[in-house]
Amino acid sequence: MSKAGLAQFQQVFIEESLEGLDTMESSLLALDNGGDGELVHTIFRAAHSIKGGAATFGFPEMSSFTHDAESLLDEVRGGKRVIDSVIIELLLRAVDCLRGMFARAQAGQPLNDAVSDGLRAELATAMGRAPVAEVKARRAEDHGDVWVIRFRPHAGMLAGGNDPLRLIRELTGLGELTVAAELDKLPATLAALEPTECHLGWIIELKGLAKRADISAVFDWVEGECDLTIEAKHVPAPEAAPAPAAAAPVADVGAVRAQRESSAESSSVRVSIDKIDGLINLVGELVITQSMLDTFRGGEIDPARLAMLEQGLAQLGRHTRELQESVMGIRMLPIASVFNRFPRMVRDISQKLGKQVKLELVGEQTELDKTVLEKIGDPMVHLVRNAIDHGLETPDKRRASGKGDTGTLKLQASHRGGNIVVEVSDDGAGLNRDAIVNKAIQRGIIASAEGMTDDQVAELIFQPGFSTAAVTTDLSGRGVGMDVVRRNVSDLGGTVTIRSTQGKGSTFTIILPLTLAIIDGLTAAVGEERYIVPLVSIVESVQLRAEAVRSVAGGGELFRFRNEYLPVIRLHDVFNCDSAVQAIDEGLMVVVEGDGTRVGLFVDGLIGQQQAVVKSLEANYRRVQGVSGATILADGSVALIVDIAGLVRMQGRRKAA
Amino acid sequence: MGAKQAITQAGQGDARTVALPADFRLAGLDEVKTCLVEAFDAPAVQLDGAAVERVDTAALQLLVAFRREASARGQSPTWLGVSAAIHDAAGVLGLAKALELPAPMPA
Amino acid sequence: MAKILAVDDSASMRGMVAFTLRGAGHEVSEAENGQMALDVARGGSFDLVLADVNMPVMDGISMVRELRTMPSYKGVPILMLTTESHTDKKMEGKAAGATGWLVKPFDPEQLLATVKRVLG
Repeated sequence: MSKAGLAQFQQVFIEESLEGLDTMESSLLALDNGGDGELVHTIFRAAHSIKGGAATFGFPEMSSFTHDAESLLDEVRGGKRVIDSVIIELLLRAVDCLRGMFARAQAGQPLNDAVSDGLRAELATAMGRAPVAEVKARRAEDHGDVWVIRFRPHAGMLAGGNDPLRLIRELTGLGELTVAAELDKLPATLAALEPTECHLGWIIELKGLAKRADISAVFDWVEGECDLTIEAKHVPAPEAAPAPAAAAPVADVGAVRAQRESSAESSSVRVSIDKIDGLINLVGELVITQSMLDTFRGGEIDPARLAMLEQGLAQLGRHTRELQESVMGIRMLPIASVFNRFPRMVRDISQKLGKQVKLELVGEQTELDKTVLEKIGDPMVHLVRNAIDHGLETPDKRRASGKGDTGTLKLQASHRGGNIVVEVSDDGAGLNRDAIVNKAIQRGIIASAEGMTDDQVAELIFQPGFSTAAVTTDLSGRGVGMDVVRRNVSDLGGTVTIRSTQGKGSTFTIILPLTLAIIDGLTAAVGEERYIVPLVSIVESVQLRAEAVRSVAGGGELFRFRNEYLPVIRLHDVFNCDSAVQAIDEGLMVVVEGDGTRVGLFVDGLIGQQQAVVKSLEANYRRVQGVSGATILADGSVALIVDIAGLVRMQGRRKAA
Repeated sequence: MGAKQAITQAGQGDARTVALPADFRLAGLDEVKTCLVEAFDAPAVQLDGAAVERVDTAALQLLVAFRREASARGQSPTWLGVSAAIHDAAGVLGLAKALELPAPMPA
Repeated sequence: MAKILAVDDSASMRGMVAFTLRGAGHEVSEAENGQMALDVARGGSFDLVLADVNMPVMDGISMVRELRTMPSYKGVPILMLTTESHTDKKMEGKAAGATGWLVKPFDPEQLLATVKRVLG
């Protein structure tokens, strides 16, 4: 048994503690909104678990920090203290602080900082005491040559699992024993004896250099369950060297720490047993199919059994597909972990802005890929900030427009086909068409809004450098605009759109692939090379006559698609492919959309649709502009996956240059 | 856990044997107690502790109470077999004499 | 080798306990709250139960109280895994029928030493 195995639980501990902190936060917020007393228990339990685990897994700083918060909660729980908004605020800050400590723990940095020290002092003050470490005075130990121990268990001690046999046996480790049993309290008849009750007593003489504390320690669990005296028979020896302080019950921090650094690197996913059972079932079926197919191995195939072979292959195909889906499912986590950070944020921001906001969360259990989940947070934070900042009105303004004082902000997640749809909607003022048009003209984004639909006008807010707020607040106006939201989302292979009605509110819709590990794409041929174009970004593919494409000043090319002119991106130019088709009428124009912009991708031709397992280029080679990854084709060759949004941005830069 | 049912009473003429279970501990003592109480009716009782693997204070206390009442009734139960576990526990608890255990067999 | 039931709502703590005890050759069953532990306990027999105090659904104290009403768990050692700040919890656990406690934090060696102490 080594401590090496413990490192794995350290990572589990960190993850469950972060969940525990989320629980604490949401419960504190619910309590702030008049939630019931059960919440206090929930909060206490979470704090308690973190405290207990932190010390065990080598984070004593966190343990003692949590201890202070826990003590405060314990007083609330025990009715010694009434919880008020001051305490809730303090505890919310403690939650934040602990999150920081966990982050530093994972990064291998010192856990305490000025914030945690300051907060500890505040917690201590709230508890009405000075934050000093307790120093337990140790009583001098007396020694004896012979100890006389009188031990008489109370009747109920045996049923509680403390067996005198075990206790006295433990004493044998301390020295030479002479044990005399006292039978005087035993009932006169067997019938009168309740076998689970103890009616015996013992006088034990212990010879040796045992200390009183060692003897007492043997009986520590039965204090109050027995009569016990420990006396030195002979004159106690003078006090020798002071007894070494009992080793503090702290795990070997050094050893555990060392392992933490390695384990922090590999992030993990917690998977429900159901999912694992499903996988095991599938693998079982796969094995059966495989053994069925094995019967065809060697020898000629009897035509009569050909149907069976085909059936077996079809089954193999189905199981492989199901296995793929199930394995992907392991990476799927509910979006709740992202949603849960918003109650706190909404509370803080709305308080700051003097707005009243009710947050509704719908579809928290909707699952999506862990990687997508980790990256969806930032764009959502921005949309939510934006909604409270610009969308929702102050109570005065809402009353003036005939609405209730409290605005509603709704976060909704759902599955739609192979995508996940996340909506951020508010019932605020909606987009102001005139303000947007004015700003866009002023910024030189458009010349005039004539003929533009409301949707087209709304699209303008995603243009780089666009901001409609009259005053830049410190909340969403940090120089980060909607263009960054769109870029982040499109980096995930998704899209973000807005629907808005003036006076009624706005809805931002983010559509994302369920997973980043597999994409549906069309294989395009360019010379000898093959490229995968993600299906989600393809609008249409058209064969053009040569004269449909016009050169423009500066070397670019445009073609007319429906009623707009789109720039042409020749893939063979971008990737320097030899022997590719040059003539427009011999190749194919694939109209794609990325970052809200449409372009024509000129390729030799399309070969077919396929699911591509995405391999990171960065991990295996280096980041390449215009490429989001690579995949391996059925013939074993490698094809690059085209990053449409990246290409569009490259095209934009070229145009600007 | 079949050991708890291991108590048997075999009538050998007038003598009676009470076999003690392999798991001779607190949770299973009620049954043993019943057997022992009934055994007072027999003119002679033998205790068979050869099969006992696990034993606790409560079990030995039961046997002590049995022997005390038996001698009060003028009976002297004998040991048919005593396991090492019983010898060991009785030694630790200072009950070997009260149980009138035979000297342990040399190993 | 003993049969041990480990009860804790924290997967890390439970995992550490189970891992350590299995490494020492014990047979370990796990439960994540008092209610589940009672279900497991009814279905089997254990030489030792290790239980956290604070757990959702059913806490460790209530679990001990319930366990002690089952005849087959009379006298079976039950240790509470508790923190030093809760002397009153220790006493509450004892009153409910717990045998003793193991103070959190503990390391594998302390755990094994305590288990050895209880099981002899």
